[in-house]
Amino acid sequence: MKKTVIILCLLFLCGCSYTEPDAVFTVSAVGFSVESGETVAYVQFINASEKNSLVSPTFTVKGSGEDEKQAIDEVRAKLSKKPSFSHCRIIAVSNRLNLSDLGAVLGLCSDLGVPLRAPVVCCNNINELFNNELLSSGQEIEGLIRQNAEYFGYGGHTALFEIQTALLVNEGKFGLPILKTDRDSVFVEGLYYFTNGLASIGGNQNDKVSG
Amino acid sequence: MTRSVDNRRFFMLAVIAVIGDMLLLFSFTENTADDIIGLLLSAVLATLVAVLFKGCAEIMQKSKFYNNRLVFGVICVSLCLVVLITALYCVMNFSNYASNVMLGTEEILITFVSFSVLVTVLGFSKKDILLKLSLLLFSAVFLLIIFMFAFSTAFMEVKYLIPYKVPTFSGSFSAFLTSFPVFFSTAVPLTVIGIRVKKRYFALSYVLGIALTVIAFINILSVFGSEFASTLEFPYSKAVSTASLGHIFSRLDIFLYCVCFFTCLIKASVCVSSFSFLTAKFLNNLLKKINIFIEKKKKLW
Amino acid sequence: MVKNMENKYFLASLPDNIKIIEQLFSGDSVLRKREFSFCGTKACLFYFDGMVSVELINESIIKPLAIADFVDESQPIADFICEKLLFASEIKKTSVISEAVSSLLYGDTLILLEKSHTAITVNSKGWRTRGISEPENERVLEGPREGFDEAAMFNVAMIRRRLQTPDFTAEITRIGRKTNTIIFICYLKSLVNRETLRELKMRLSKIDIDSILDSHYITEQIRDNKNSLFKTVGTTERPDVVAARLLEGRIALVVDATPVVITVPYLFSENFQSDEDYYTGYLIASAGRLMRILAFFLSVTVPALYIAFTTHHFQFLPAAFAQTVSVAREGVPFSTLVEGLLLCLIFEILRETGVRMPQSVGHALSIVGGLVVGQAAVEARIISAPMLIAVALSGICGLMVPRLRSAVFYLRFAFIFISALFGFYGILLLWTAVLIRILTLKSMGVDSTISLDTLSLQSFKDVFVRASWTKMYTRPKIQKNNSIRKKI
Repeated sequence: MKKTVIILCLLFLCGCSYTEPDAVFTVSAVGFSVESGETVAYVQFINASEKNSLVSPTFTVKGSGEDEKQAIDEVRAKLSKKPSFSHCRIIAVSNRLNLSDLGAVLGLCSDLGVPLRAPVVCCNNINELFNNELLSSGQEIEGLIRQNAEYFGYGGHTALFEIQTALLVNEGKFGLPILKTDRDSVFVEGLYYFTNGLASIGGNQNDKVSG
Repeated sequence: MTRSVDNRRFFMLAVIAVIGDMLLLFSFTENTADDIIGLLLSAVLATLVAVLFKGCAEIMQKSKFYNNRLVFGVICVSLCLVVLITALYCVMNFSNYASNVMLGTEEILITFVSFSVLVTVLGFSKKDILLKLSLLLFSAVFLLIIFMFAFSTAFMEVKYLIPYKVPTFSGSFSAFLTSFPVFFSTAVPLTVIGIRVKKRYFALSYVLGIALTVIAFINILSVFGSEFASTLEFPYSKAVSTASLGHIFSRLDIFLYCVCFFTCLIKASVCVSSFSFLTAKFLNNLLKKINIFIEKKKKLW
Repeated sequence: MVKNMENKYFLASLPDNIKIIEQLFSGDSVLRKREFSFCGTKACLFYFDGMVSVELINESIIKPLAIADFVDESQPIADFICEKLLFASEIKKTSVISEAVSSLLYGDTLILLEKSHTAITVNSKGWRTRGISEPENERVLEGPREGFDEAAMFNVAMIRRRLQTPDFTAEITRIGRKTNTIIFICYLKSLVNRETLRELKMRLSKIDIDSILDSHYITEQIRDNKNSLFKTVGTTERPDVVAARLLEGRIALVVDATPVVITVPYLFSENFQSDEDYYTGYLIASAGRLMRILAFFLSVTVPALYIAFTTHHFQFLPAAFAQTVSVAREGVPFSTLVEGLLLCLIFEILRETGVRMPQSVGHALSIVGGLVVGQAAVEARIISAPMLIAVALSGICGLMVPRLRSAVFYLRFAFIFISALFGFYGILLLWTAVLIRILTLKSMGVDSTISLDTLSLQSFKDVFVRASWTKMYTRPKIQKNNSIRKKI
């Protein structure tokens, strides 16, 4: 009798995270930009419903706010299920973000549970990138980034934690691959890199990062 | 033959116990040199002090002072306090890790209670059970740490291991203070339950246990570097989560769950086991004295 | 009834003795009585029809007595008949009624004589047996195929044929108030642990039960922990296995009327041993052994792991698999936990039905099980395909370790519950608890995991793998006392 009571008490103390797999939306890519003075978040989800899979395997939700946290909260408010960032493949940042914003965005991504290995890329038009018919899911964009790693010289050094380390160390320069979208294609144009912690962002887009 | 074989099983138990909760307690300063010096110094000193401690315990056991009521009582009580605090600390650390990282909840009570129950059951069972369990778990712990290190090499950077900054005394000392008490505290319960084990095996177990911990340390440092690692709560867990095994496992920190569970369980159980041994000895002695006292009084009456 | 006749003796009067036997078995139509006289002496024999060989009675008892032409008056009539007249291999004299009745009940013929307190029992057993056949549950591809049958005496003979040494001993005992079942306690005198033997006999003597119709009536009463999920008493239907275990210093209990022989002590590693391991090459045997250990682990853990990873640790699944799981779960009305429990239950029902059903409906059952449960249920979105695969894998793995059937059955459900509550942490917790339980198992006072007492290759030669016969030069460690371990 005593053992049963103890076990039942233990069970009722449980506040653990039991979540059905179909009770979450899986995030495949997340992007941040600044538009009209507001931070905008684009979150791409995998479309798990078979009814719509023929139409598009992904769908994107946009949210905006004073900072990146508010933007993500707005995205959450538009969803019927909880988002799960644990399978996010790509973090896209716009060239309109400054360094401190970049640091905040990447910190938020870490807190949300985005894998530390997720590559960070630069893109001017994140909405077009995520909704491009040819190349629309985070997995495919990640594949494109890895394909071009050797050619553009950034190797494997665009992971979330590597960019966060570079920001912390605040030395040298680090480059992010720039993704450009056409009507019918997506390609890596070059590198967009940040230098010595300066507030401005820019640089020779055709330069390659050394080392 | 029996004693040398027991030595080997004790060796396995001690290696796992020495690793203990150290994998959860890594903390970094922003200076790589300080971190490396602090850890290596604590490793070397902890091994030497542990072996010395065992030697002293053996001498003490054979000396006349051991039979002195007061001396024995003081030794017992102080050792009991040390092992209990070590066990509690280990259980708290693991419960914190299990709740926050494994279960994703902030309620530490459930993991604390469940883990404590298991530790108590194992600690109060026969020493043989603990030795057999460590025999089974040793190869798993050893291989998994090596395995996680091997698969993390894709994201390792040797440049993070090279100390560019000048080491500072305060930084090195704080790094030393983080790891030395954890390493040394395991020596007390291990000495109690392995008093008859040869010093050679005791020392070797410390060396191997610390070596595996250093491998984990190198793993973290080479993946993140000191600066970034100092901002993380459980850096080893994060470091291992960057590793992957092809398309089967996208992150390897699930293996770290197993390793930490086993190492913390064994360490805490060793502490509880030594606590039960000490109290049994102490109470046994006390009861003997009480019986002698009662007999004397009876004779008087 | 027989025990009530203890300390009661036959009388000197033949009619009175006949009356005693008839009263004991009043109403029994199977008991046969044959009154006759020889050389002026009256006699009466009793036997149970169907249990005796009638030809043997005619040729060995009635005929020699009938053709006898004189009786030596200088010695008791019973002695004279036993020594000079009867042509039988086993003859016993007794004046205790219970002994005579016990022999009569076991297929002997009882001869009562005029003016004699002594009755004679003659071995005339002739009941039908099933004959030697290969045991259904212990089939091998290579090796001996003999199996025990229901006659304990012949079973002991099969063991003795393999252990042709005077060291082999078979002590007899009887258990069961109504059945008085004969049990042979077999062991090798020079190898057996006397303490274990004493312990076993003590436990057998404490059994107080009406009937022993099968070995499992005994196993449940002599095991160390009555409620343990794991076996601590071994059973087998093969004489070669019994012989091998006796050669390791164990004790075998051969129970009459059942082909299942009990062996003690039982080590935990035996759950993963197959009889065929010793009749094939050591490499394939070792691979098989390791697969069985893996199968036990998988059969208990796979559904729990699936539930843990899909509900608590979704981040660990590779992206493609995570997507597959999400798509598969879409529209399924049950939670993952309920789905898992339901499928495990259905699998067990199918398995149990497969054992009980007649052969002729086997095909129909496969169709029902495969098509209906497998395909139709998934297509109708009542269950999800990944969960079905996980449970099927678990079920098939469970069939690889039949000796752990009871443990697998209960542990599978326990793991499913705990993984739904606490995820992977719960699985680790429960596995550790199970491991601790296994390490504390005892069989007749001997640790079931005694091989882990020492860290030496000789201890492990027959545990996780089966070493080559050239390396197996000491007996496995059954007792802590090393003096029993000798070179083979």
